[in-house]
Amino acid sequence: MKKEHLDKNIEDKLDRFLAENAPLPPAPKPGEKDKILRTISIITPSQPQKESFFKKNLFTPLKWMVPIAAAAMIGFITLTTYLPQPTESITDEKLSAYIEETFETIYTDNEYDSADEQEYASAGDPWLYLAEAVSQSR
Amino acid sequence: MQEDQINQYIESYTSGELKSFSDLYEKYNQMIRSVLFKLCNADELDDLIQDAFVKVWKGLPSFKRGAKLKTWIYRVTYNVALDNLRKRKQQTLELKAELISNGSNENEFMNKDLVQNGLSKLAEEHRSVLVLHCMEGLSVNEVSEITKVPEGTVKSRLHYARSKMHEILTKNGVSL
Repeated sequence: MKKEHLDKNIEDKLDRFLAENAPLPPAPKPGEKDKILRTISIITPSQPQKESFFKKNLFTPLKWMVPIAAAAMIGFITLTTYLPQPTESITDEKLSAYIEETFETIYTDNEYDSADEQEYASAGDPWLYLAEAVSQSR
Repeated sequence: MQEDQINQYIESYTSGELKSFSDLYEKYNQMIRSVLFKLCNADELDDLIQDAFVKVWKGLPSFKRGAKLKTWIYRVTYNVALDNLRKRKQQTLELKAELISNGSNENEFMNKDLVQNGLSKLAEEHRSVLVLHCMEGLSVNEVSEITKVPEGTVKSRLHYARSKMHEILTKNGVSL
């Protein structure tokens, strides 16, 4: 592999000789440029842009939206199905108010009933009272 | 100037216009053709030139700003040649005895033929540095950048390649 070092003068001459006698490539064949242009036009202009348009506008949103929508739906179903439904808590005030209202109604009804009973008692016979009431209505 | 030109090429690439490519082709066709011819077999020259232009065009968006466009194109071309040589798995090329007659006399043609023959006898790494430095006129630093080997290695390869080439030429009757 090791070669003896060339004299600087010879080295310069060799470099000059190589530069002057560098092999020249054959001239391009007619239509070479057009052929390359056709290849370039296939790989470059619209194809990548069309692809990126599709990717940007359709594929990418779908790629992200579908899993997010699916995860959201699964989450919603899980929450509504398995989590305990919220119940209204009964406070002491609410209970008291409820009992009070209920008893008031009962008391009013009882009052009414007792008045009726007194009327029946004063009339003596309930059937007579009924007959009187019917005749009055006529 | 170079920056404007590169921007124009890149813009052309992204917008899909081929006008700039035409300009690129006119400017660098001879350079690419010449390097590929010296490094590879001329039989596949057309395909290699197309391959090189496609790679240059496609690689434009990834071209590093601030770098020299010409050196970068040399590098792409060198890589195309290297891929081709590796594919063929042969370090020495068959002599392409194609006559190149563009007004040169017989003696000059013989010398070109001898040089081509000599190049074909060199290993790829020696041939590359000799072609890029002595025939394309690139500096050792540029050759180092293109071939991705340290400058010291380029120099030692250059030294070996010169000695070998000198030996081949003198054996064939060339006196230097």
